[in-house]
Amino acid sequence: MINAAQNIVYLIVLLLVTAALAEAATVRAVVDRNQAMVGESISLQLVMEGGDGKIDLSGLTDFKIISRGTSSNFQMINGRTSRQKIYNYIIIPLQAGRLTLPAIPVTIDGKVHHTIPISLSITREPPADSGRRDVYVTAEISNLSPWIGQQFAYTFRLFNAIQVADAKFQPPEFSGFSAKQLKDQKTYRTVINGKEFMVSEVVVILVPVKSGALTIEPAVLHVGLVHRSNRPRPFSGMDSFFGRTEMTTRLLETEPIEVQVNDLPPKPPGAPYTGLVGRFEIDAGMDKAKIEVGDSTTLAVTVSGNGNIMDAAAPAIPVPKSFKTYADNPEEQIQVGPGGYTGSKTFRTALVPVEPGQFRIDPIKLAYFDVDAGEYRILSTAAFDVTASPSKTAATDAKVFRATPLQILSAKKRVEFTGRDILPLKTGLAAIKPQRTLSVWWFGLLLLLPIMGFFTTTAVLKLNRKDDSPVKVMADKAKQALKTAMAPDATDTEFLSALYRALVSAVYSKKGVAGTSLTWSEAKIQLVELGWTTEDAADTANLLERIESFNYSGGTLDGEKREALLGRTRKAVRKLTR
Amino acid sequence: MKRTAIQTIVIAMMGLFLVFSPGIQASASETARIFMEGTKAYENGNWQTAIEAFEHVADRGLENGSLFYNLGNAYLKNDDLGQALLWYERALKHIPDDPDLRFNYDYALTLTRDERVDDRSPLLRILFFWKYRLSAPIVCWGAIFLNASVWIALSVLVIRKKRLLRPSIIVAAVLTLIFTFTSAYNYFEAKRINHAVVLLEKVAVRSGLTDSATELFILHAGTKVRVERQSATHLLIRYTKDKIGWVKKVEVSVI
Repeated sequence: MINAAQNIVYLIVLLLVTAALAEAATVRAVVDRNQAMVGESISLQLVMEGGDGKIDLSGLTDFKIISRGTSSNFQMINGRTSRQKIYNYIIIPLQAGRLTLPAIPVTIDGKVHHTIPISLSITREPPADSGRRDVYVTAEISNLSPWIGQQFAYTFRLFNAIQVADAKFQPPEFSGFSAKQLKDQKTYRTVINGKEFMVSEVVVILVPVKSGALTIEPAVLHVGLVHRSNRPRPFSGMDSFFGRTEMTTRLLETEPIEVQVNDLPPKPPGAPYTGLVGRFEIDAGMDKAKIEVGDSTTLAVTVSGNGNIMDAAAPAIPVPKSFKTYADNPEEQIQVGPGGYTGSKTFRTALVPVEPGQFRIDPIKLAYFDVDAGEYRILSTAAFDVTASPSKTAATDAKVFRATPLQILSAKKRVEFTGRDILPLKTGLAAIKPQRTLSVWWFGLLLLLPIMGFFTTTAVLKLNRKDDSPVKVMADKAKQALKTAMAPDATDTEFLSALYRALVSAVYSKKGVAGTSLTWSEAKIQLVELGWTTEDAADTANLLERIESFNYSGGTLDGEKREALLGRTRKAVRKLTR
Repeated sequence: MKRTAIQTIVIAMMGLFLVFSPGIQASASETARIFMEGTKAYENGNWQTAIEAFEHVADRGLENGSLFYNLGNAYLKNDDLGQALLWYERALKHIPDDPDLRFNYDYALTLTRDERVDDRSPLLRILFFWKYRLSAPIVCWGAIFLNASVWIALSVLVIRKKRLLRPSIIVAAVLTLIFTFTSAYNYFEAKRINHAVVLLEKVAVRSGLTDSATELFILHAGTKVRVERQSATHLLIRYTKDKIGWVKKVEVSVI
C-alpha cells in the first residue's frame, strides 16, 4: 500500500519536472487600455511563463513607472502544467501623442526575451475650467512681481469631482524663496461649468530672498482615484448592493510659475531702516511722565503690521543723557495666515533719571519699505515730556544707583549678524606657492632621525669611553714610569725609583689589582700563582731585588749598568703587560 | 574704497616685483599673472572669469589652501554652492585653522539644504578629543617634535646621567606615542577614507547603477558624503549609516 503511494508521488514529481523542462520561456506585456490622458494611470502586466527573469524598464522614458508587486500562478490542465510569474506596474504617460511602449527586454536564464511593442494613444487633458475633468490641480501666486523680502501667498488647489484617496503632495522646491506652509488646509465646494468639485487648498507663504526672474517649479500630487468598476463580472447585479469600486493612480502636476522679483531701491541717506518690508505702524506710550530721580518709567514702543515683523529690531530711542536705559526682551504676537505674517512686536525700555529736571524725549523714528507705494516710509511717534523731581532719599540715590552694576550687565545683548557675506580673497602671491602636506615617508624619516641620532651617540660614547680597569691603569702607570726612567736628566734615585714603580705596576697589572709596593719575594709568589714558571718568576723577582738593592745601597750607577737595568726592566714590563 | 586702493597698490607692487625679479622663472610669472587676473576679476564682480583664472592655476597641479579658498569664494559668489563647498573642503586639508576659511565655510554650510549629520560616536569624540580638536598637520608636527625631544633627552641622560630627567622623559614618551599613532591614523584616513561633495542642485541617490533603479533619497548641492566604493561611472555613497546608494560620478566630486 505504502509502496503504491510512493510510486504515485514519484510519478507526479517526474511529470512535473518533465513538464517544466519541456516548457519554453515566454514573455508578454499586457495593458488594461491603450487610450488615456496625460497623467492617467495605465496598468501594465509583464507575464513570464516558464521562468523568472530580470526586467529592464530603462527604455520607458515617456512614462513614470510605479511598481505594484508580483504574483504567481501554477496550473495543470489536461496533464500540462504552466507556471506564470506576473509583474504588475502602473505607468503614467508624461506627454501627449502617439506613444509606443517599446519592446521590454527580459533576461531569463541568461537568454534575452522581448515583449511585443504596444502603441498607446495619449491625449491632452481638457482645460481645467472646462468642467470636463474629474480631477485636476492648479497653483497660483498672489503677486507676480514682488519686491525682495515682500511676502506673498502660493496657493495649490486640488479640484476633484470624484472620490480621491492616498494623496501624496510634493511641493516645489521654492528655490530663491523662504517658504512657510500653513498648517490649516481649507476645503470647500465649488461649481465649475455646472459640475460640482470638492476643492482642497494648500497655502505656502513665500518671501523672495534674491532678486531677478525666478521660477517656481511644478507641484506634484500622486493621488488615487476611486470610481465604480465598469468591468463585467459574475453576479454584477450585486454591485449596487456591495458598492464595488476600484482605484487608479493619477499623477497631477501644476504649471511652473515665473516670478519677477524686484530689488529694493537704495534707501534714503540717514533713514533709520532696519530691513522691514511690508506695511507697518508704530506706536509708543510711557507709563509715568513724572518721576523721582532714581525711579523708573517704562517706554513701550510697538511696531505692528503685515510683513517681516519678526525681523523688526528695536528702534533707537533718543534718550537725554540724564537717563539710564534698561531694555527688556521684546514681546511678539505674530500670526501667519493666507495674508502672510502679521502681528506686533513691543519693545519696552525702563528709563531712570539720574538728575532732576524737565526732559523731552524726541519722537522715535522707524523706516520701512512700503510694498504698496514702492518707496521707503519713515514712521514717527509723538515726543514725550518727563519731569524728574529730586528724590526724597536724595542723599543715597547716587550710591544706590551706582551700586547696581548687575542691572547694567543684564542690559547687554547677544550680538547678532545684521548682514551676511563672505570674507574677501587672499590676494598674496603665497597662494600660488605649492603647499604640499608632509608625506608619510617624510614623517617616518623625521621620526627615525632622532632615534638614529640617539643610537649613534651611544655608540660613539662606548667607543670613546676611557678604560679604567686596574689592568689598564696599572699598565699605563708602568709605561709612564719607564718613560720617567728613560729621561736623560734623571738622577740615579729617580731612575731606580721609576724602574721599581714600573716593575711593581706591571706585576699588579698582570694580577688585575691596584697597588703601589711589592717585595721581590711577594712578586715571585704572585707571578707563580699567575701561571708563570718558577724560573721566569725568579728572574723577574731578582731584577726587582737588584733595583731595590741599588736604590738602598746609595752607590752610583755608570751608564752601562743603567742601560742593562733599563733593558731588563723594559723587557719584563712588556712581558707582564702584554 | 580705501581697501580697494590698498589692494591695487599691493597688486601693482607684486606686478613690479614679478617684472623686475630676475630669479622668478617665466612659468611662475605666467601663473602669477593669471592669479592676479583672477583676483582683479573677482574684485570687479566677474565671478566666472575669476573661477576660470583660479582653476587654470589649480589645473597646473598647484596645491595651495589659499588658492582653493579663493576658488570657493568665487564659486559661492557665482551661486554654485556645491563647487564652493568642494573647494572649501579641499582648502581645509591645507589650512584647517585659517579663520577666514572657517568663517566662509561656516557661512556656506548655512546655505545647504540637507541637514549636516555626524555619525561619529560622541564617546569617541570625548575619548580621543585631541584627534578632533587638533588639525592633522599640528598632530603630525607635534609627534615629530615630541619624538625628537624624547630621544634628545635620552641622549642627555646617557651622557650626563641626570636622573631628574626620567619623569619628564616618560611623560614625553607617552605623548609621543599618542601623537604618533594619531598621526598614523590621520594618514590612513586621508589615504583610505574618501569624501565627496554633491555638486548639482538636486541629486537622486538610487539603488542601482541605472536611471530606472529605485530612487532611495534626494541630496542637494553642498552635502558632504562618504565614498564607499566606485564603478566606472558611479559612486556608492553613504550619507548616514542608514542612507546608502549610488550616484553618477558627474553629480558629485571627490574632495
